[in-house]
Amino acid sequence: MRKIFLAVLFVSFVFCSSAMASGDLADVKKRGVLRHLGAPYANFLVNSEEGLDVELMQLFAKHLGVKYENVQTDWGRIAGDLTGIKTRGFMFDDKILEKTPVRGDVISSGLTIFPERKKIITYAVPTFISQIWLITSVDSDMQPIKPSGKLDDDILAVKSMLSGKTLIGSIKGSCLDPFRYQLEKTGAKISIYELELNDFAPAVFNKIADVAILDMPDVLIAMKKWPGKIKVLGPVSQLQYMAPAFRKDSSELRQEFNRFFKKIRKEGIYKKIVEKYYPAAFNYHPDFFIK
Amino acid sequence: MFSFNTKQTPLQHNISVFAIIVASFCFVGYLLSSSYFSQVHLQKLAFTQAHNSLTGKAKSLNSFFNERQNDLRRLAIGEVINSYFINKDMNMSLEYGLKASQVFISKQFKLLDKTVLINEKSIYERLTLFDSNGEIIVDFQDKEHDFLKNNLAKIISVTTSASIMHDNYNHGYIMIVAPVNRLNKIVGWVVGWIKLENIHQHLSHSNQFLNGYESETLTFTATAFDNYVFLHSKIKEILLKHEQSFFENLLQCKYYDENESPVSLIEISTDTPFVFEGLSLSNKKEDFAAFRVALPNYNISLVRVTELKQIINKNAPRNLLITLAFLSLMLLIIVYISIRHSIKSHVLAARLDESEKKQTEITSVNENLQQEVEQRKQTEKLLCENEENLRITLDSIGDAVISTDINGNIARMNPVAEHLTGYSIDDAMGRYILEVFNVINSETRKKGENPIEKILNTGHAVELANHTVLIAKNGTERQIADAGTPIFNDEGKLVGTVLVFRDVTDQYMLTERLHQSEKMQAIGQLAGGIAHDFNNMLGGIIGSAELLDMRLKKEQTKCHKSVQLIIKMAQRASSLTDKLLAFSRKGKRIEIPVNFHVIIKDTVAILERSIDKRIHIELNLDAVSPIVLGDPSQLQNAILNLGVNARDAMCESGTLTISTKNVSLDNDYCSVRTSDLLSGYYIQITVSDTGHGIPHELHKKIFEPFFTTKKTGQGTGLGLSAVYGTLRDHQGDISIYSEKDDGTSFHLYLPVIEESVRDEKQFSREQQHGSGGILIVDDEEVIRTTTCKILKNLGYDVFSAEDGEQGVEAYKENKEKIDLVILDMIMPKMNGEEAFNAIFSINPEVKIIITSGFSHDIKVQQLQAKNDNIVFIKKPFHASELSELIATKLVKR
Repeated sequence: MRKIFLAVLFVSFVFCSSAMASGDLADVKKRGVLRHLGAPYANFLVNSEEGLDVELMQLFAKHLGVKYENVQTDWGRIAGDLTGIKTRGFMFDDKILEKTPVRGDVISSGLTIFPERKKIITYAVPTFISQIWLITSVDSDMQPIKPSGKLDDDILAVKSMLSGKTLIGSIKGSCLDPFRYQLEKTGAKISIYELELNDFAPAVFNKIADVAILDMPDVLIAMKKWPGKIKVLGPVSQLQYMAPAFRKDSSELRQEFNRFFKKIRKEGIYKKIVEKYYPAAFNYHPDFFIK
Repeated sequence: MFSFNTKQTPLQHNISVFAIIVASFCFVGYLLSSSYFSQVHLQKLAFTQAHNSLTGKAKSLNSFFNERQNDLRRLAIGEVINSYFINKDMNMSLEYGLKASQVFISKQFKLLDKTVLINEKSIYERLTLFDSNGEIIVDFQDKEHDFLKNNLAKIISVTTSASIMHDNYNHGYIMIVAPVNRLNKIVGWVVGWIKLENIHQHLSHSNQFLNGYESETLTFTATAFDNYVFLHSKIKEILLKHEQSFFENLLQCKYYDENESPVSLIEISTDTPFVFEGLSLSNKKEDFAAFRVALPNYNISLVRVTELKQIINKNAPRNLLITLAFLSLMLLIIVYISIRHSIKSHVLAARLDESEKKQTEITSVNENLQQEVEQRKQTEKLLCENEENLRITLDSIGDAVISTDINGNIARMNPVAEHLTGYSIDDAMGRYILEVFNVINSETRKKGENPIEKILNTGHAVELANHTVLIAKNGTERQIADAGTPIFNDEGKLVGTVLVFRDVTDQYMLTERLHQSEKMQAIGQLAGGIAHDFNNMLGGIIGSAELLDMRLKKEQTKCHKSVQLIIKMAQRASSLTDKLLAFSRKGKRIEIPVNFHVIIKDTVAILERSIDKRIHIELNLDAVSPIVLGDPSQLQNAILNLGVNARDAMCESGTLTISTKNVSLDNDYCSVRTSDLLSGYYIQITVSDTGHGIPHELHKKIFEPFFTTKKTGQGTGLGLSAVYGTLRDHQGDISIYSEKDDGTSFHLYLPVIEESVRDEKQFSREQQHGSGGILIVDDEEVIRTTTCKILKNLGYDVFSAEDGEQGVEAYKENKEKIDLVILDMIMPKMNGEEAFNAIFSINPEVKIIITSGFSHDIKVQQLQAKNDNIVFIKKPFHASELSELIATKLVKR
């Protein structure tokens, strides 16, 4: 009984929130502005004017014929800013039934597609491909794995090196949550730091930790930024995808984005954007970005 | 061009000429040789310049390769490439990280490709990173990997320098290689490919071939690498068009001489150009020059082949030599001709010089002559001017001037002299002076002395005697004053005389008339004085006789007759004195308008009764204005006297003509008269007779008192003098025109007035009694005594004084009693005028009768103007005349 009550209540809140959100395509066009929610994240969103997602959303707004508005937020509240319901920290969950003002129409900030997040948001088609890699200092005695050609084997090979190693990860629920990848079971000493992603590489070559997990785009950036200081040991995750997230009631908007994205990928426009911000990543998965 | 010193000797002249020729030859030779060597030097310079140009290009190319090496070295030592090798050393897999490094390297290659450009195109045709095994790590131009692999050995053999490769298409590339070192080991190579075509485009920027411009000259630059010769494709294309072996060989930068010996142009010396024969593009034989310059750091040479004429004119020195030789020859010919010409010119110049000198002298002489002529002309002009001035001066002189030569013959006369003598200069010129200058003494009528003879004899100036009369050619006589002087030349020698004289006839006449006037005036004064005194005496006689007559009883008839006789004679005597007074202009005279025609008629009436009936009297009274201001009695007497004289002159028969007309006398006429005539309007009265006339010499004397031509007792000699005095007294004049046996005409002139004539006033003969007090002031006792008695008898109270002072005192004392004063004008101590003024000041209303033996003169008129109560009575006066006048004056009181 209690669960049904909670479920009904939840649904009511959802609908109410949805009603309050009013962020579907018509509304966006009526409002005349596309509100882009973005938390700084690597080259996905460098600032309100720079970043892969920034340019993507700018093009989408232009596609819609509306103005573009970058809404600054952080990972702790970004979900609530979209859905109108607060979430626990970085958790895109529904544990907190507390309203919050809807501030945006779309999240596009290198948001990784995770199943649990789909409870409260709806993803558009994937716009980026990624993977979580394990990095270490260049002078570490840990050696990169030789790719076996099978990802699962490569992941196991990497995890096998972690025993007793200090590992830096990020907050729970994020793509760099070590627990997401059961790394706690590797025997690694996991440390959760609320670090900026740019600090992960320096953390390892400054010997703060033996290893760190970092998503591929950021690893590539770190390699460019600190050439010869870090090395990649191997993957700890399957390939991951990133995609913009919409409210569940913004289906038209989402679908419109999907159409838009297909178009710019076909035209090679998106390729140029990716090459601009993640040239290495492009080269890693060129088909994904060109297809 | 050449000038010679005209004073040179022939030897000196020849030496000069020879020296000039030698100098000319030397100069020409120097000119030729220096020009030839200059041309040769210029050729060398041209070669050097061409070589330097190519050297510059080689240096430029060398620098270019150096920079490209630097490009690749920077990449090789860069972090990006090194980090790859590091990652690789760390066994990073491509799947997980290493690929990223490759991507970064690829980006760097891309950046280099975009930034290093030539002619706005990418220099690098390709950029590749090899590993030490020759595996391609990154290839910017991802194609033809096999080609690269196959040449890996060659590539890796190159460590530090560039190498040349050509690809399968024979395009020709130059490879720049930079090793990647890591840990003192070459771990890879960065290789950049540059298309030679692009380099040539850059190097041969101005090459007309490469720019697509076709020219008749064959010029190109080849790049030689080892034995490989690279030509630009366009050059190849052009060379390939020609089938001759020469062109085919040029494709390989080869040349085969006449002995078929090959010369590889890429092996020629880099110091000197290689000159060879070839063919131009138009298949004509041409000389070519090949230059080779090696790049300092690379095994590459640049070879430039060009037609020699593009650099130098091979024949220039020879041509110049020929040209200069020709010019020199021409110069020498010109010099020769000039020398010859100058010799002639020298002679001509000398002659010209001489002629110029002569010309100068002649010019100078001419100038002097001209100056002299000019001076003479000026002198002549001056002389003429002086002559003219002298002539004008002489002609302008108002006096007559006659000059003579030393012999007394006339040399010059001025117009005045011509006029006075009556001879023209043409008539007189050359004549003896006396023939023209005919003078006599006006008084003796004898020949005057010859002044010229006197001057010539004495050598001094002379003046002719007075009374000299010049008789003109026509007989006209003129009184002259003259003087003569001698003429001396500059040496003081007497060369002639000059006689100066003037007509003084008018002056003489004037002087004579003045003398006559003064004489007449003196006589007049004398006569006036005598008449005055005489009148006083007569006044006494007449008064006493009248008194006596009054006292005689009626029965004493004889006594009455005797008394009347006394009175009559006294009156007659008074008439004589009147005439004298008339002459002296002091007689009693009244001024009233008088119609002279009436005077004449009255006078004629008298004459008709007294003259012979055989004498005809004719009147021609034509004057329109006959009215004159004067005394009718005197005027009548004047005409009467003239009439009587005319009667006497005509003896038995004749015609007496009296005519009148109005004339206007001008200043000229008036000035020559002895009378005080004023110009104006006159009546001329002419009294003419046909009598015996009066000789001219007597004309001056006839108006003098007591002068008469009549026999003793037939005339007093006062008639004409009286007439003269009367006319003068009436501001008129008289003149005579008479000649012996030719009748006489007297012209009388009187000023006319416009007033009408009034009736003459007649005095009553009856004595009038009256009453009142009368003061008699007269210095003549007789007059005073007689008059007192008469007045007392007439019933008046009489006071008397013997001079002016007493008269004034008497009036002061008795002014209430005195009603009338009878005042004489001429008195001692205080005369009548002074006494009048004194009495007048006492009583301005005093009545006065002025008496005088003289006529009514100006002083009396002036007194009358002051006081209307003044009247005049002339002595001697009748008692009745006096009593009537007194009665009239006292009645008016």
